[in-house]
Amino acid sequence: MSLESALIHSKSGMLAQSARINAVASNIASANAESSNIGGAYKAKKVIFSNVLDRESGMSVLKVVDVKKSQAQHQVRFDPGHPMANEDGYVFGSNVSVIEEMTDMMSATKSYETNVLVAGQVKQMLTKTLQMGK
Amino acid sequence: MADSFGIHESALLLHAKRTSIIAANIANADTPGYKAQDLDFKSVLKGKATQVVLSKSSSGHIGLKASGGVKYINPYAPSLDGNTVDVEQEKMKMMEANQRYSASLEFLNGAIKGRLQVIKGD
Repeated sequence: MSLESALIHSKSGMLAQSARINAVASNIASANAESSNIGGAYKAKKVIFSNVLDRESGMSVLKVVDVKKSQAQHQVRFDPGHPMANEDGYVFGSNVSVIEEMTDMMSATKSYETNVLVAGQVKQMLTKTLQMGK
Repeated sequence: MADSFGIHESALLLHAKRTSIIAANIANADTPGYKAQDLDFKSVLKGKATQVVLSKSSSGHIGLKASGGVKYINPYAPSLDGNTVDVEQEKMKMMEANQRYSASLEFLNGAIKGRLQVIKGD
């Protein structure tokens, strides 16, 4: 049924966007994490989603396919007195850009809300259909 | 009796299908490279006679209905990542599809009520 598949689409949209919001929250929380080596420094998470064929419903549905780590440059600071400094006196920060994360958050929230709106309208249509002939 | 409700029976299905396509567009508003689709009513009407359905020889196969009418939208302003969904436009289309669906439903309701009245005879 088409209306049910509309609901499946908006559900998949909501799931993908909430995964994105989740990644943003984790990135912002760890924006100020520091480490003594570049490998241990926090790398921003980026959610990758794309359309995947869902065998159960036989339609192509939006799914989170991967969570990748950002390849942006880390903040490196010279601070020999810092407890996390390495032998050369450097501290490695995260590679999170808070501005980028905030705009990502706004975009994800807006898309999530739009999907909720669609689900609400489809629900209304289904309810009306169920009351047909009454 | 199969066609006793006229065009509204198939109109209902058609608008439901369009709603599903618009829902998919909105869900993929941020998917890189996604191309927005829509139903072309004219070609649906024309293609009704020439519908191709692939047969399934195994339960693992996925049935494919090459129903005409689903087409890619010509975008006004595609984004850099190749996505052609215009969310505001899709919202308007969603509203339109919803209204048309409700209208067909209203007509069907009227037809059913009329018939019930005839059956009951009051």
